[in-house]
Amino acid sequence: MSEPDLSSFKAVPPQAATHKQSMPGEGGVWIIIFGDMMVFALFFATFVYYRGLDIETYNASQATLDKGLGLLNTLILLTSSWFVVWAIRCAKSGDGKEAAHRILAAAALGVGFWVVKIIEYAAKFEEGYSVVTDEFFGFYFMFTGIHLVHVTAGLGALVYAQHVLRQGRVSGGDLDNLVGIGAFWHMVDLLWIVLFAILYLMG
Amino acid sequence: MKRSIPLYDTLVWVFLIVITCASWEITRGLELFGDHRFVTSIVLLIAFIKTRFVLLDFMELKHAPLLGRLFAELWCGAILMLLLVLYWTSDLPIA
Repeated sequence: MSEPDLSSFKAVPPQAATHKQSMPGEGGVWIIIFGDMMVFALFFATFVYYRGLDIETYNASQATLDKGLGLLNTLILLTSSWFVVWAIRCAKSGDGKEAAHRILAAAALGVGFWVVKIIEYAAKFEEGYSVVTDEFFGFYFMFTGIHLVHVTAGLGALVYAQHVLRQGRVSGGDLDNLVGIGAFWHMVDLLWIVLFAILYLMG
Repeated sequence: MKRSIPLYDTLVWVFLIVITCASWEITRGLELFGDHRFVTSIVLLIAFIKTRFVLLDFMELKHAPLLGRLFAELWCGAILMLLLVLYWTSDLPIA
């Protein structure tokens, strides 16, 4: 029995047939990210609406905040985000160890954000302000507190990513997880950008 | 080469740092503007320009499927508009 002639057939790479544009990284994380962004959008609108009903009280309470610390935390998160972007570039080129170093730097900055926030909270409590002082401080402690929970969750995810990446090798699954974790961390950053604008700078 | 800094992302980061400091700085000069509400409007605009860069460049949504990209653009545009409307109408005198 003779062999069939296959010379007229061309090999088609499997990805060419099934390639479809998809969301970066682990798909499921985007449901959490978009959901959180919608919830925080509601927070932002609620704050600006209620501020409009009692501008003087809001402005007087806002004046007691340390804008410098708010600015510092914004710069910390932006820089942390940049390290995550750099880590993903390293991981995409297959260098897990270099990626792990940058994730460590990003996580260290995340801890820095935590420390600055605790210093800020401690100063406010010492001055006698709390969540029940007035509406402004109610929103301030609630929104920044919920945001800090997100920072903590993101920090946990970064530590996990660092642990995986420091082995050196980066599998496709590892990369997807890293991009997903990175996207979550960037969301934490962008939510703070708006919180900084409305809580500390809105006049 | 793996250690080399990603140039475009670094430029985006520098830009974000600069406009963050700028938005902080202009609120310190509140009295220089005739109407403080313009200053806050610029601060909000800068904040949402920053979030758009984070979404499209850092979160890589620039090359995402249409729905992902659309969400990013709509979130930035619609929330900015909503906050500006709420902010400007709140200063209106009560009849």
